[in-house]
Amino acid sequence: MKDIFLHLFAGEYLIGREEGSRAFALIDRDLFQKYPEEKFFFNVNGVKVLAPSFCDEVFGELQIKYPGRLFIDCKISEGLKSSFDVIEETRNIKFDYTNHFGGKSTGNG
Amino acid sequence: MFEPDYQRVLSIPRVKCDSLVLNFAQATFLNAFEINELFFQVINLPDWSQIRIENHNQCSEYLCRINFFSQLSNIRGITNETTESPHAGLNDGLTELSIYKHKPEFYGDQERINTVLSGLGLSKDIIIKVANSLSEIVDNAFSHNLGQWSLQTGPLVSLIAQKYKYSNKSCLLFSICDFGGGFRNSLLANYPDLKDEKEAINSAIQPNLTGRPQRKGGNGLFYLQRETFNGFKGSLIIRSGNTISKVEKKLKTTPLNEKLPFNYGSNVFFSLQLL
Repeated sequence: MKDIFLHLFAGEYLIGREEGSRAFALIDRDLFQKYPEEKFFFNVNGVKVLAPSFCDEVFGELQIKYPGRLFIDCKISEGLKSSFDVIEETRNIKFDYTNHFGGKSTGNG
Repeated sequence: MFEPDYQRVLSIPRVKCDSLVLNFAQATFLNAFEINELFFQVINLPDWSQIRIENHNQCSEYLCRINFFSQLSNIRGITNETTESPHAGLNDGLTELSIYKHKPEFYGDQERINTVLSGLGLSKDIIIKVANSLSEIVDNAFSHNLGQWSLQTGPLVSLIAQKYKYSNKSCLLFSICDFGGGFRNSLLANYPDLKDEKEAINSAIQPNLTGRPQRKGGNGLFYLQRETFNGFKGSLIIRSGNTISKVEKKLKTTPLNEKLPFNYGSNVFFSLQLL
């Protein structure tokens, strides 16, 4: 499992559907397609703003396209989780939260 | 408790010769929503090139402190010498009037907004939820009004945040006002059956309902109303065009006024009572 620190990969302030769409395209190409057998563990706790639209474009799309390969750090703060919660509610999907440690860490994929 | 008083707002401005006269005789306090509405009204008044204040009081002092008059002057491209105040330029805590003319300007302001929210002693989770909500609404204001901006202003979104004490409890008040086409105009292409702004406001708070051409999204106001009523004693009021509605729990709205004397732009107002 590869560890991704979202604030290092995409930034601390993640806003906007269009920006999320661009981030998704990059994550899709450079991570999920490049390593088709790999699972990815996202640590989002360094992020200061995670707007639901951005979250939807990135994580909503990834969860639908790659079920079983996307994991979110279960130590996510309540504030950040609220964006994931609203995507689960509106998209009718479930994110996988885990406490994985020790994977290959990377800030840039 | 924070329902806007339009009569009070509309009683303030008038244009005399080439002066914008702001008379504060009837106004001793304006909440964030009302300040944004006043800003909105005044910008749309034609034929003024200077500002004159009558009956200076604590309310006009307050507007000075949050740079209301200087922002107004900047927008109109005038040098404003009549509104100098001993307190001008001094912001008291959270109180801010921020004007954004394009998205990157708002994105670039994130660090400052975060610092201001942190300075209030709010928990990290509340800061994130408030910042998420503000980001959604401002971002949507720019996205959904493309091609529909007022010819008077072009793209323009104003954000006001206020900290307010009420019955010994602290409240945060936020108002995001845009000078675009209103909710109905934004949604009409995807939902041509929308009769009026009242229906448009009610539709806009539902999940997965959006005016975007690709029909993706519709999370912004849904998230805001969800968080406003989840863990806070909060309220949410929306004006779109000539209609103002109060958002209730469970995705319902109650119209407060459907015949305002103007019909453009929108104003999203939410208050959070801190526990």
